[in-house]
Amino acid sequence: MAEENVGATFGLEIMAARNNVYQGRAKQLIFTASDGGKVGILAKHQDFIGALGIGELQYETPDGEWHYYASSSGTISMANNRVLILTMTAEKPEEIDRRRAEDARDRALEAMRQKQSILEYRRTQASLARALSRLRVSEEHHFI
Amino acid sequence: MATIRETRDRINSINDTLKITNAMYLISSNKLRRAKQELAETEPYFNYLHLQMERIIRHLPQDFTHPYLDSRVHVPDEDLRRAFIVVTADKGLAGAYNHNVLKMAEEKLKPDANDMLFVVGETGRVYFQSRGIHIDEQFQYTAQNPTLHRARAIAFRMLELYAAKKVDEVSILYTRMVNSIEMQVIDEQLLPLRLVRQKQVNMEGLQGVYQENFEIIPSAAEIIDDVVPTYLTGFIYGALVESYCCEHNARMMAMDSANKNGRDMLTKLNIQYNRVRQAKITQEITEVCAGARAQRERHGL
Repeated sequence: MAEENVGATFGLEIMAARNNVYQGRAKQLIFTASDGGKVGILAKHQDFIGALGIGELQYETPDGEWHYYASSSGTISMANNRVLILTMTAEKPEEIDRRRAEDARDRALEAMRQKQSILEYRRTQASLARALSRLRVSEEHHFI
Repeated sequence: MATIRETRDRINSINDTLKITNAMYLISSNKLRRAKQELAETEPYFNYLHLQMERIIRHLPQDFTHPYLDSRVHVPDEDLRRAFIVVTADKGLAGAYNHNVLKMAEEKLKPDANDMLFVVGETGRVYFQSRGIHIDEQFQYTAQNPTLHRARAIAFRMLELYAAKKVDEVSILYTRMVNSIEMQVIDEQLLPLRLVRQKQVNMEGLQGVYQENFEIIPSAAEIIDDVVPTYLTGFIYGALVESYCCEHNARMMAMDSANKNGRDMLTKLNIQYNRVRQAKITQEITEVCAGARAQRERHGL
C-alpha cells in the first residue's frame, strides 16, 4: 500500500505569468483541453505536450485535498512523471473578482453583436470564455 | 537698485525649478523600482516558456508548417518588407534616451516604402510625424506603466500582419540597461522566430540521435497557435519594461544633474546677491557718514 502511494504521485509545477502557483507533488490533475473537454492526468502518464484551454484547472495534493483554479490558455507538458503547466493567469476562486468578470462577460457579449473581423471575433470569444470560466470557478468552489 | 531685485527673482525662479526637478527625480526613482519589481516577477515564467518553446519546436513533425513559423527564407532582400517597433518615452527631459533610439531607427530605415514603423511613446510619434516619415496611426500605445495586456495586443497585431504576409520581418528597437549608468539601444528581431532558423541548422546535426518521444495533443498547430503569441508577448513585455526602466533611469540622471546645476547656480547667485546687498549697505553708510560730516563742518564743530 505504501509503495502504491509513493508511486501514485507525480511532480507538478504550475507557473502563471505573475506568480508561481504550485510546485510540488500531486496525485491527480484535471485540466481543460483546448476543445473545452476535461482531461485527467494520473502519475506515470505517457509523455506528452498539449494545449491548455481556458477553463478550470484542479489538482489533488498527496494529502487528499483538491485545489481549484480558473486558468487562461497555455501549454501543459508531461515528461518523466513531471508535469509543467505554463499559463498566463491562474486564479483561485477567492481571488476572482466577480464584478470584473461579470463586466468582462457583458462587454464581450456586446462586442459579439457587432460586426467583427475574424481575429477580433476570436479575441472576443477568448475573453468571453475567460470571463465565463472565472465566474463558474468562483461560483462552484467559493464558500464551500 | 534693480540688480538686487533681478537677482532675487532669479533665485526664486531657480528654487521653483529645483522643486520640479527634485520631484521628477523622486517620481522616476519610484517608478523605476516598481517596473523592475514587476519584471522580476514575470521573468521565471518567460524563461520557462522559452525552454518549453524550444522543446516544442524540437519535437514538431518534419514537414510541419504554420503561418507563424514561416521562416521567409525565399524572400529576396530587396523585396523584404520590414516592420519596426520603436520604443520611446512619452515625455522628453530624459537625457539622450529618446534621441538614441530615434537615431538608430533612422539609420535602420531604408528610403524605400517597404518599411513600416510602429512607434510606442508620444515623443517618437511626434518626431517622425514632424519629419514626414509615415508611421502607423492606429498603433497608439503609451510607454507608461507597461502591462502584459498591452504587450499582448502588440504581439497579436504583429502576428496578424506576419501571418497575412503583409510583413516579412519584425524587429523591435528598445533600450536595455547594461548597468545603472550605461544604457544601450538594441535591435532585436522578433519574427521570423530565430528558434525556427536554428532548428533547421540543429536538425542536420541531430540525424540519428535518439530523442525522447512526446505525444502532441490535440495537434501541433493548436499548441503553436497559443505558444507563439505568448512567447512573443513575453518578449515584447520584457522590452517594454526594460525601456521603461531605462527611461526613468535616464530621467533620474538628467534630473540629478539638473538639481546639481541648479544648486551650483543658487550658490553663485546667493553670493552675488549678498555682495550687491552689502555694497548697497556700505554705500548707504558712506553716504550717511559723508552727510553727517558735511553737516558737522558747516556748523563749525
